[in-house]
Amino acid sequence: MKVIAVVGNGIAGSEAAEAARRVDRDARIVLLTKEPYPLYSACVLADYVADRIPLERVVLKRAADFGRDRIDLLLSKQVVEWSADARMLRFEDGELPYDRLVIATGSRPVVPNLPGFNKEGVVALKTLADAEQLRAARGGAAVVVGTGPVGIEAAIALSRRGWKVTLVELLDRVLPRLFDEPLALILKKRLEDHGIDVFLGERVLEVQGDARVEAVRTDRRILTAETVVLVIGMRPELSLVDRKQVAFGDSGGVRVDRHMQTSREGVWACGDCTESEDLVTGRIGLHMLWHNARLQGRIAGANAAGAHRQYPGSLNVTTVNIFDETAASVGFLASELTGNEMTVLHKKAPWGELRLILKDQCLVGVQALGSTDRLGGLVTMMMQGRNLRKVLLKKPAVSEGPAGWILRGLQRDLRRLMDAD
Amino acid sequence: MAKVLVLDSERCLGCKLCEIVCSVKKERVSDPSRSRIRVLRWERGQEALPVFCQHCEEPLCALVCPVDAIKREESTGLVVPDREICVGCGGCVSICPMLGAGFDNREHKALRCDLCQGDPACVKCCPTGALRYVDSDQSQIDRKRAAARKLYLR
Repeated sequence: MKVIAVVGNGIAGSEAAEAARRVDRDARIVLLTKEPYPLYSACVLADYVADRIPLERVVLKRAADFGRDRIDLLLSKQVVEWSADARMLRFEDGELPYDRLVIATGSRPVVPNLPGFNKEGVVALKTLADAEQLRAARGGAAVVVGTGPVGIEAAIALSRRGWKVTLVELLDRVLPRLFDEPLALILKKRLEDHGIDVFLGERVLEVQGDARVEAVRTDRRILTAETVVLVIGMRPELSLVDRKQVAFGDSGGVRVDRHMQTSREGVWACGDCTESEDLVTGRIGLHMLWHNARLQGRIAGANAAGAHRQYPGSLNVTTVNIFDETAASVGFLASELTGNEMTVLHKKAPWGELRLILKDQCLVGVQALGSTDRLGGLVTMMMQGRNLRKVLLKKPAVSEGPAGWILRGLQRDLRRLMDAD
Repeated sequence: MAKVLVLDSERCLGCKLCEIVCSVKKERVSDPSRSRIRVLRWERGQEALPVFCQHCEEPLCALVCPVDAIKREESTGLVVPDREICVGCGGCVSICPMLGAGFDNREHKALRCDLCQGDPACVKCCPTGALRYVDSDQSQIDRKRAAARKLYLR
């Protein structure tokens, strides 16, 4: 019997196993994970820490759900060696020969090479075990290092638990990869209004304490803390794989083709450990978002079972929720482009704010605050790469979708901007 | 045969009556911000565009939902979020290309048109017939597929 092995049971691996089963009803499908839990949602761990949702909502699939699809789920099963030529996975207590392999090993938090980061009380917010650790902690003061979406969510969650929370960011604004200064300032103020201290442009130097965390020393101050949440970034988790077995991209993720197949015959990859193309910016890189991982998993799994599906590319719409106000971002930031190649239209409206980034009269980035629905509508226009001046000359076409209407609502501002350009 | 909500945007006056009727019927309040159909207007001029859930074949909202709250109902074929499970992250709102994902800002839950279980109130109240509830024949499905392909694929 054909054996399809999937390593990693995050959303990518889980979807891959399910998709493989839909394509091939007979193959033996084995899903291996070093985690002790079946599938859970990494995106809502902060909500669980904040006691906003119960554990049953975090866990998306139980062992029995995999059983129904006749997927052999092996929990707490760490793969110690992959013999690519022999098509064999080895564990401490055995081995598994396979015919087809899907690598879905995900990502791991970056830990800086600085003193004290191995102390007890330093956690990421990546796994359910991390969330349980934060829930079990005694409370008090926490320092969150890094203000990406996970850092912000972790800070809010701990603050909701009644902790005193301080956010420390190396760069000059919060959520620096998602928002330009104007929106980042509003979001920072929102955090501060809810009692979270935010220190920007500040470098963390060490975690102090004996065995346990007692304080964090930055280049400006010493912050006492019982817990340090470290979320400065994610890297592909590829300790199992080396570059001689499959090719890696410049981003450090596994390189795959449109079918999510790696450079090695019979091996597919999906999810956070894989690099892909951004449908809006065209950039090849790591696009570690839940929905990208889910779709990649479906395609990699189906293809491993014999289908020929193509992955269109990654859609990097990122939504963050800050004390029940949402903000979203897609495409380039103005701060990523130089002043003379781009123009910005920043509109305030009763429903929120919308920031459009234009380059060569094309829409290349959108940030939204409040009601973020217009952002999704505009994505189609960005993917089509249409010249806005030409778009505005014509009547709205069905093929523009709602994007045409949104842009025509802003046409006076847009024209003025492009004329000045 | 399945019926679908269709729009003739040329006929829409932008009166927004559908928003009010929808919120009254589904939420029992007259509050357009909690309507499942929403009318976009240009800055100037008469033209308006009502937006509502298209119940896509491959819905992005279901892909993005971190708690699998959005699923296709087997009995109706509609893509509907489960309010009990929804965590109110707003991810579906930002990603929908058709602006079809509504959001209840008071309860922080996703809102989605469910065609009023086959009897849409907005259609009945629309004074110009811009909104219609019709049998979806194959040619119409093909047209929609073609439009969707233009919209999203390169």
